[in-house]
Amino acid sequence: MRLMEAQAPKQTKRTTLWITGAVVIVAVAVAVLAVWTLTKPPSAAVGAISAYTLDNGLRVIVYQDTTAPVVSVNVWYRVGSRDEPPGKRGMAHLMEHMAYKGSKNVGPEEHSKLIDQAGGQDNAFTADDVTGYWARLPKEKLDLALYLFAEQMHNLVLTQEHLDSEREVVKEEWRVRLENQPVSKAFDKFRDIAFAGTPYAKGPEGYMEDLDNITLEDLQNFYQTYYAPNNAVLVVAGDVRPDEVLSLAKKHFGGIPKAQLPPPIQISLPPQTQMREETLEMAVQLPVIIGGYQLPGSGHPDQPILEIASFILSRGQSSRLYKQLVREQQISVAAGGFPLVFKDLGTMLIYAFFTPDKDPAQVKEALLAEIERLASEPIDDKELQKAKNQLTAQYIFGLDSLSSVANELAEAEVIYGDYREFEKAKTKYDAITAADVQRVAQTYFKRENLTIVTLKPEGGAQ
Amino acid sequence: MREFTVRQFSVLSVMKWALALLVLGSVVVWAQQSNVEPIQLPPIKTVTLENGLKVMVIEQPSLPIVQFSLRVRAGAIHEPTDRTGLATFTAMMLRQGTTTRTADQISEAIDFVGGSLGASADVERTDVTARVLKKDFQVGLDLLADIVQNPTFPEKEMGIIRNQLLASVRGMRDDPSELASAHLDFALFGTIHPLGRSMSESSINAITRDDLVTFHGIYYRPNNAVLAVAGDVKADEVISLVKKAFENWQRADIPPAPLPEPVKLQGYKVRFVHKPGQTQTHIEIGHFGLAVTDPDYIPTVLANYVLGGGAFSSRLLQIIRSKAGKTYSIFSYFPSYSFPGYFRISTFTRNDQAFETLQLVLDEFKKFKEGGITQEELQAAQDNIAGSYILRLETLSGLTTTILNNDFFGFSMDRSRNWRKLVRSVTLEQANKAIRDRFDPENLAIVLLSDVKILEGRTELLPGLSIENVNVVDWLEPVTARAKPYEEFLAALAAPKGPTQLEWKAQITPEAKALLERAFAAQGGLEKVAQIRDTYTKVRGSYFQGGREIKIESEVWIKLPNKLKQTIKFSGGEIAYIYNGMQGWVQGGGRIQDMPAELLAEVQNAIQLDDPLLLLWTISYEGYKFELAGQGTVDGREAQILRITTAKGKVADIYFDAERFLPLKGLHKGDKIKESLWSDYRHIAGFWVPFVQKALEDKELTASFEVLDFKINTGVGDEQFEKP
Repeated sequence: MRLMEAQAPKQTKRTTLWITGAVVIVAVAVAVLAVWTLTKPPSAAVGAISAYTLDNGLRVIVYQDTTAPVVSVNVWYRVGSRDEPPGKRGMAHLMEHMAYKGSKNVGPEEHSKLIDQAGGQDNAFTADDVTGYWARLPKEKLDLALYLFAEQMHNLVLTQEHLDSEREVVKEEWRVRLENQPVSKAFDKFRDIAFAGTPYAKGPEGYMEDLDNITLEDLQNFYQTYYAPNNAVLVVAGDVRPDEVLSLAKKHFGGIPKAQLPPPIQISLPPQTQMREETLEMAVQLPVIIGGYQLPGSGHPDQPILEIASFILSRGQSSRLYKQLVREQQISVAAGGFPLVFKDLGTMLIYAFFTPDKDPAQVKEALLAEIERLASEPIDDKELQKAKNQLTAQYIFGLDSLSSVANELAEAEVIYGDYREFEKAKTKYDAITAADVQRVAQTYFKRENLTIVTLKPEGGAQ
Repeated sequence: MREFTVRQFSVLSVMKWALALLVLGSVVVWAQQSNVEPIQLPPIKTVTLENGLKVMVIEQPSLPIVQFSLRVRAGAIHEPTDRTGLATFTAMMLRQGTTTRTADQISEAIDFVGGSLGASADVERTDVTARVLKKDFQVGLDLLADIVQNPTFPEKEMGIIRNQLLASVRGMRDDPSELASAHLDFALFGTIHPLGRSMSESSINAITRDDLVTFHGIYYRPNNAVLAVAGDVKADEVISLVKKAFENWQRADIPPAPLPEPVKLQGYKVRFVHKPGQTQTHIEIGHFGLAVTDPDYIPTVLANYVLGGGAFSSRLLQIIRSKAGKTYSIFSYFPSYSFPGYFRISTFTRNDQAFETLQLVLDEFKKFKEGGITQEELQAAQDNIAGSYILRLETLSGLTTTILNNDFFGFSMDRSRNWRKLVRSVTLEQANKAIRDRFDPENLAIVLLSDVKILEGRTELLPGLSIENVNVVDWLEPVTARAKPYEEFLAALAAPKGPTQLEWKAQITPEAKALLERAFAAQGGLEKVAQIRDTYTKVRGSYFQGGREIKIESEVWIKLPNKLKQTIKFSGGEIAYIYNGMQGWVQGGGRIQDMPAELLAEVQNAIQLDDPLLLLWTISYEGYKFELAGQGTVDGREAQILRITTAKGKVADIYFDAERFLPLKGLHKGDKIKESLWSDYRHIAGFWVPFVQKALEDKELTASFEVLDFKINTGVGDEQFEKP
């Protein structure tokens, strides 16, 4: 990421339960359900979606919402850490940083300054499958934002001097997010084991040594290869008209030639046949168990059912994991699970935080036993309906935020291959039955399919 | 539909500027609108009910959503000084049970409709929110009204929440940013001011149900609260339903919460937090701030934007990150409180850049103060702070928060409407005056969090700031613990610590080991004894000296491996013995004296060899020897004798009951023969503890006690074992 999320400290340290972790949650699109038939239909000025493809392959998706005179703009490139060659892990993230260090017409650091002066906010992020650039500004500044994003796509000027200083910045980010955060290290170890043999075994932060080995030429090649209109999606959400957005998109991006893209890499994870376990001992005050059951990638038809399963397990204080581990057994202070889904593979991520007086083996057993109960016992209709209601409501609440909608649309397009997945969410949970949930639990929530990492204090509790 | 009268740039005028940009090249002068148009807010209807509850209904019907936000003036500043965390504990407990609903029923009800319900306490307020789909309006309102008015604070639920709060105290230590930040707050405000106090294990453990009930009873009152209802709602309908839901809520007088004056800063006050293994140093710098209601606030915030509030538009980020590559993040900040808070600069960097970065930050800060800012910089700040305001109003929660904030600080809604004008009307003179008045690079609290080894070999932290003036505290200690001068801290670190892990390290003969294994088994096994971190014993009894009997009551805390505190109450007063593993003190008769050497030795003894349970830990001392020394009898019971010889050659014979393998007697032969007798074993706190304990010197009874209470692992903090 370019900027620490909280560029101002939380006003309180006295927050409730604080849980760390550099988990990049590639959120799965959510559902809208029968609610639409019970209430009046949304007004025409909220929710109209249009999609276009420019001649050079740039996808342009527009979501109209005239509620506030604001636009949220996403430019996401279909490239992420999984595309990095071995020995150059961290390049996609370094590239993201370098994208702000100057272009033909915009000086180093000027991109953000201009957005700031326009009354906007901006940032960027690098994930496994995608690198995303975004801005949020008063709607009349859309033209500025598109101009700046087009400059990034086409006119970047990469210099050795900037590479040298930005490399150090990226290393500082690595140190603050990973090296000095025990929970991040545990998640890093988890990935390493769960996705072994694939590029997903290492996340976007890369390796320190690799960062030192990335040359200017590497970055130039990376930029030329992947930062192309036919490898990108532009999403604009807010108080805009689709035809105006299209026109501005053509104006700023239309002249950028398409690139010859490398053939897509298909990554597959050999199925696990045996549970994988590791224990890390570190100076950690709040131990945690992080695990995951191997899952297929984003396109698989079981994904919506897995979302239902994760809500039953983990959503709200009435959810199974919270009730069993936190309330009944009091063996954990926080526990949950959710699908972490990439393009080509995924994991049902599970976790439980516990205090050092608890026995990690017992915590693990309690966590797994409750998850496996989904496989051995059918769920009742009320629980199923609750999960569907929660997914529906989540979708509607999400519409209140333009950046949330812009992200969901971009994700639908880039990860799921079709922006309409966002809207399909209205119906895709309808037909799911209790039997479906049980089948999916039986298929995936098996110990031989599980990787589990325990992070505990070294040499007993302090 | 909301309407906005923001000036709309025609496509043509926008394009004109775009073209100008293409021609101008890299020095971009993007169009600045001197845009002071008022910002339109959605319709807000405000009424105050008879019981004093102010209700604000914000009609924003674009989505079928309703958000209820009840803001209560109850926060950290209202907590008693030794109950830090009470406001949060209370907030978290609200939904854990009411007079008509259990915690599970509440959770099921809100979860079933896919809504959210929660309460979060901050420095001066608690926000209780419920968010539901419009069709579930009544569910949301009923639950919110119930948890606010009728919480019952069940003990069982308290246990769960308490554990979560204790876990969050631990979790804070795992995050170097949060920990450094908490230490800066303490360095600035101390414990006399609520901003300086952090939740700790002892403050959370001290909170009782009575505390929660009292806190709720005092502050959760309609005349101390504002309810905002926003979304797809109609004001009149909402108001009548809200009236009904809160009609039984009684008003009451709210006691004021006066804030003490923090101690003025003079020069640099440096607090170093040692966290071994840190590869990155966190730097927090701060002084006092100003209230959001202060007339200087907006000019100050504008100036701050230039220094460090404006991200890539700020000097600090440009210089320290973009040019120097020293960090990923640096920012400066004033919070919004109704009282003067703080000003802080926050950053981090790899260890070998720590001092250079610190100096660079201070230099930039000084330059800022001395030179002020330029018109161009002010303009950029105004463009952002005025121009981005509408982003706050985009979402329902952003809108609600903004409106509640205006009300909370006593501003009318015109503060939002006129924001652009307020911001753009600030002149360069005003901004630079705010810099002179509100920013002070000469008098600062500075916190560094890193591995203390980065100080090795340095005589100065900064030019003119001797290393002797750096006080160091360990990351595991409570945030409010006394920091030790650097040399003293190093000495404490280097001092032999004693084992923190129960392991077979001593030289033990096979027969002695067999005996010890049975002794461990008698106490539930080695793993069980290994979990002991500290013990607490309360006794009552008598000392016998020179024919006199002195009746006493005593409490003893022992924290492994080598800390002890004992308070003794007798008719003449009270004495305390305190030992931190290296030094000791005796407190009594209004005086505190250093513990004399003989007493120090006795105390060390007491922990290692004279405690019937903890003596088992001596197997972890490498230089110790264990062997069997025959058999004996104690009070008619057969015993096996285990002889322990310490690394210094001290010998103790422990008599273990031949059947039960619990220690019956400890014998030390020195210039006097000292014996400890242990009997009347009872099972308490998971262990066998002798409830009758006697001490003899040369066969004469010198002390006799009965145990009143015994606890394991109370979490007693290290600060309890420091000089009082």
